[in-house]
Amino acid sequence: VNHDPGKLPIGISSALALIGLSISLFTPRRRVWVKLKNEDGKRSIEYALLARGEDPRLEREAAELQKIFDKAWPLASQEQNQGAVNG
Amino acid sequence: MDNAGALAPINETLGEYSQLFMLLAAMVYGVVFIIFALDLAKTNKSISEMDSQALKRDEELLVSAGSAAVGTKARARRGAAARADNVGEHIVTYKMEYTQLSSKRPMARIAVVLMWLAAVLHGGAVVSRAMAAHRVPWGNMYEFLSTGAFLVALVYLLVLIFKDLRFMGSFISGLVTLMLCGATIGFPTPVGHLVPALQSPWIVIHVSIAVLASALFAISFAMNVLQLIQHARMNRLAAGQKDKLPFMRVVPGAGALENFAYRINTIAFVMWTFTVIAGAIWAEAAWGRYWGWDPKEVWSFVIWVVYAGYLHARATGGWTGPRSAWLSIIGFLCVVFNFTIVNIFFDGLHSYAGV
Repeated sequence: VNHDPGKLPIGISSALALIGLSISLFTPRRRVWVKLKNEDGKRSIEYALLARGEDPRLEREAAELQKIFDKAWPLASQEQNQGAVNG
Repeated sequence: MDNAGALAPINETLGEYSQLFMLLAAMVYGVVFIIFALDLAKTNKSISEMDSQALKRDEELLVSAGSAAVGTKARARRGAAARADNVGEHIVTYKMEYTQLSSKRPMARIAVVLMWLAAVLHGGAVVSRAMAAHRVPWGNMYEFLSTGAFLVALVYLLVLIFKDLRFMGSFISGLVTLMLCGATIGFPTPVGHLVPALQSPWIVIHVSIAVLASALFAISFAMNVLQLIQHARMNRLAAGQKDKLPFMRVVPGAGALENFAYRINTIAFVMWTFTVIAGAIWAEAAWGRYWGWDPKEVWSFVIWVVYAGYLHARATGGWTGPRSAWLSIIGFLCVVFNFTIVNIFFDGLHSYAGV
């Protein structure tokens, strides 16, 4: 009946609101610390993961990281030390 | 508005078949409910048998050790006490995967198979009703309930493929039976055309997602109720009191229930948000305004706020455990209120529903 110029902005902003809500709820929040040490020619990598709340897939994430590190710095002898924390 | 003249004729024979199938499905669900309850009772019994056998073994140990020395006897008694503590452990892991004892539940297996049968009958009833009326099967209270019940059962059965949620079986099948009885007895509606207000493509999107979100809210509600029971029981056990509800050992720990309920609630919340937005857009198209504080709109918003509060309380306020469970339960009660009381007794633009 009449022209409503607000329709398009309302459509766009409500779609964005929904997308933003989904991202905020379904993206797992994880933090990773990596510590590289170089002492007397001995190189060591330490890393730790922290999830916000319960995150059952954190361990898989840790395994992925391990693979990346192995590729980047192939070590002759490996002493592995890893930890994953759910907190 | 002579829309009805243009609509395809109702296939009444198919509609009657649909109602017959709905009744059959309700009966099978009723049987499933009984079998799930029997399974819990049986699990209860076999758990106490296992416990008493374990205790007897300890007693024998005690007797054989008794002659050796008094000190050993005391140690053996401590061992028995430790075993009694283990009795409080769960048969379902925190990831809700099948463990050895939980897979030895023939009754529960029968119940699951029968529930699939009931769901197939139920799905047939819903689809044939839709075909008889040439429209989506969610246009009045009878259809909201019967289609909603079908979604509850279907979501439950699908999740069951991945997670051992059989502990919820009696609750879900009971709820579905109740919804079907409510539909048949409370709102018997012959197959018919949609009231003109609902004749819009928006009904497909808005109502389907609303019903699906409600079904998910119902499932997380069940988990939150169990969580509260489990929490109280674990507290009693920790205080060294007797386990009054040993069958709750088939149910995962309170924390696992809480996390799973939370995940379902996040999905349902996004769907509910979409429902409210789509409803507002439909309202604009139909009534010329997005939001008019119609009772249904108000209560949909209340539900949204309660669940938003629940998500915030958990994420930022650190409200976990029973407090977050209560928020989720209040949210579901609002959903039920919005569906029943608001639809039936409140005068508003949503007074369709064939009431």
